[in-house]
Amino acid sequence: MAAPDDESFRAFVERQWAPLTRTAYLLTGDRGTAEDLVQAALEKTHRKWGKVAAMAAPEAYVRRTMVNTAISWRRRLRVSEVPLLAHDSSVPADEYQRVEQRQQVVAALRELPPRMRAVLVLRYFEDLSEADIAGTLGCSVGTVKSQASRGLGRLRDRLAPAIRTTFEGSYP
Amino acid sequence: MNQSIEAVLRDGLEAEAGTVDVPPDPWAGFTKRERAHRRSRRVRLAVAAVAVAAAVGIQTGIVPLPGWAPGIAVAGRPTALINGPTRGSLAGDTAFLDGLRREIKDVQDPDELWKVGDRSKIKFVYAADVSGRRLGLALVPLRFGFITDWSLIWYEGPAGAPPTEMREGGRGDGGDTVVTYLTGSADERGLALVIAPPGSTISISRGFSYSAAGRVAHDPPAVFPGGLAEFALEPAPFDPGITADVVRDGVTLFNGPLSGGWSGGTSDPQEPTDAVLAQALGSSAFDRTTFQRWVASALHDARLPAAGTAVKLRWTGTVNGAPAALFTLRPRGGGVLAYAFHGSPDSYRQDLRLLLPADGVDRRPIAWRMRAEGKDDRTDQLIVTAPAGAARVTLNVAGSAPVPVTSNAAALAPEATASVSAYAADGGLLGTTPVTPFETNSGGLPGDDLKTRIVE
Repeated sequence: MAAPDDESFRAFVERQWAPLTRTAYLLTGDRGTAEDLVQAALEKTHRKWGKVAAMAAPEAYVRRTMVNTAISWRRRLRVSEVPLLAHDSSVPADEYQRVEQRQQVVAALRELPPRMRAVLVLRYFEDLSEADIAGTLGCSVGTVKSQASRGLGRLRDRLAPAIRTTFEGSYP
Repeated sequence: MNQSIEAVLRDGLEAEAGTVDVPPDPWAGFTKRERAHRRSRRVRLAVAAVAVAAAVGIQTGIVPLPGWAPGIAVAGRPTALINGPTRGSLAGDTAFLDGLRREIKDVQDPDELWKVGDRSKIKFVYAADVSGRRLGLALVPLRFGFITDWSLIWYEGPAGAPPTEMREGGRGDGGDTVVTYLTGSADERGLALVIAPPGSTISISRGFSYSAAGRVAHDPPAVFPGGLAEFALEPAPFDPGITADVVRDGVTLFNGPLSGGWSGGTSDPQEPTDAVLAQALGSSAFDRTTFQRWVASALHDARLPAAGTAVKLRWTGTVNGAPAALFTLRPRGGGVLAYAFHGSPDSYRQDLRLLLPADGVDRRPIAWRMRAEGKDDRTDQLIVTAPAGAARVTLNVAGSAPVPVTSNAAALAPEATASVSAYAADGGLLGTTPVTPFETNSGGLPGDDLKTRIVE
C-alpha cells in the first residue's frame, strides 16, 4: 500500500503533468524536450515532496524549477524548426488569416532569447503578474517589464501580411 | 493587423499549447522514467564512492570506510566547482565580499519568499573587475521553511561598484559544475567567462570557418589552465561562434556555445540584400518574401554574415502541400551549406542543413529525410533532388541493389544507411551523396558532427 505522501504526489503529477507540459513546450518548442523538462522538474520536486507539499502553492515551486531549468538548458539544444499547424488548408479565409497570425507570432517567439521568451510565455500563457514572473526568474520587476516590452516589440516587427503561393517543382 | 499583438500572442500560445498531446496516464510514464534515472544516479554514486575509497587508500595504504562519502555524493550538490579558493581579481578583497554577503537579497517566488539562509555559508566562487564591469558569482543557500535550495547567483555592477550597487544578474542551479557568461556587442568590448572546477583546462575558441573540404574549422583556442577563463571580446556585429571546451582529469565537463547574449547594431548583418536574393532567384517564380525569410534563418543558423556569402537556389517544389526549396550558402572560399525548408514565410520547417565540400557540389544529388508534419516523429519519407544535367538518379540502400528514383518523393526506412547517385545521359556518374541521419540536437554549428556533414 502506498504511503500518503506517495498518493498525494501521484495526484500532483496527474494534475500538473498536462499544464506543465504545455508550458514547457512553449518554452522549448520541442515536444520531446518539453517532456524531459517536466520529468526533471517533477523528479526534483519528488525528492523534496515532504516539504514542498506543505507549501501554499507546490505548483509554483515546480514551475520555478522548470522555467529556470529550461533557461539553463538553452546551451544544450536550440530548436530551429517551426512546426506547421495541422489542417490549416481547410479553414475559411478569415479564420485562415487568424491562423496565419498565430503561426507568425509563435514562429517569431521561438527566435527570442530563452529568458525573454519565458517572460512572454509566463505573462501571456500562464497569466502571471510581473512580480510573480520576477520571482520565478530571479530578476527584478523592472527587468521583467523591459524584457516583455522588448519581446513584444520584436514580435510586432516580425509580423507581416500572409502570403500564399503554390509552386511546381523546378530547378532554376 | 486588427488585433493587438498581446491578443494575437495569447491566441497563438493557447493554440500552440493545444497541439500538445498529453498521455492519459502520466503517472505510469513518470515512474518508469524516474526509476531509470534513480538507477543511473545509484551507478554514479557507486563510482564516486569507489573513487573516494581508492584515493584515500592510496594515500594511507589502507582502504578505510569513507564515512563522509555520502556527504560528497549527494546527487547534484555543488562540490567540484566550489572546491578551492574564490577566483578572480577581487578574491582577496574581504571588505567587498563581506559587504556583498550582507547585501544579498531574499528571493521572492510566486507566493513564497525564499530567504537567504545562513549568510556565513554563502560561498563566493568568483569576484572580479573584468572587462569594464564588476561581477560576482555566489553559491547562496535559499530557505523556504525547512527546505534549503542552493543557487549559484550572479551579481553585476559597474567596475569598482560598492556592494550596495551590485544587482542580481541571473540564477543557476547550485549543482552546476561549469558556469559560463557571455556578453558581446556590436559597439563595445564584451566578455567570455568560464568558471570550472580548479584543475580544469578551459579552451575557448573565438570563431570558426567552413573549410572548402567540407569540415568546420574552429579557430585555434586560447587555453586557460586552472579552471578559470576570462576572455575579452572585440566588438562584433553578431556572435562569431564562441565555444568552450572544459576538461578535467581527462573528462569533458562542458563543450559547446557559452550562455549569454549579444547586442546587435542598428542593422542586421545576417539579413540578405535585395541584390543577393534577386541573383539567387534569377527567373524563378518562387515567392521572394518566403525565400528571404528562409535565407535569413539559414544565415543565422550557420552564424554567417550576409555580406560575402553566396546564395544559390537549387530546387523549388512542394512538400506536404507547402512550398519548399533547397538552396546553398557558401562563404567566400569555404565549404557549401545546403538548407531545405518547407512552409510559408513565417511558419516553416527547416528539413535539412548539410555541409558539403565545395568541389563537385554542383554535380551532387541531395536528399533529406522528413519528420511527420507538425510532429517530431521520424518517417520513411525522403525528398530527392537531382543536379543539373542528371538523366538518372538512384537511391542506394546499404545491402540492396540501387533503386531508380523517378520523382522527388522516395521512401527510406528511418534507420537505413543510404546514399543517392546521379548519372548523366551517357551513363557517367555525376556524383554521390550520403543521406544523413535525423538530427537530434540542432543547437550546434552545421557540420560539427556527421549528422550534418558528409566528410569523415
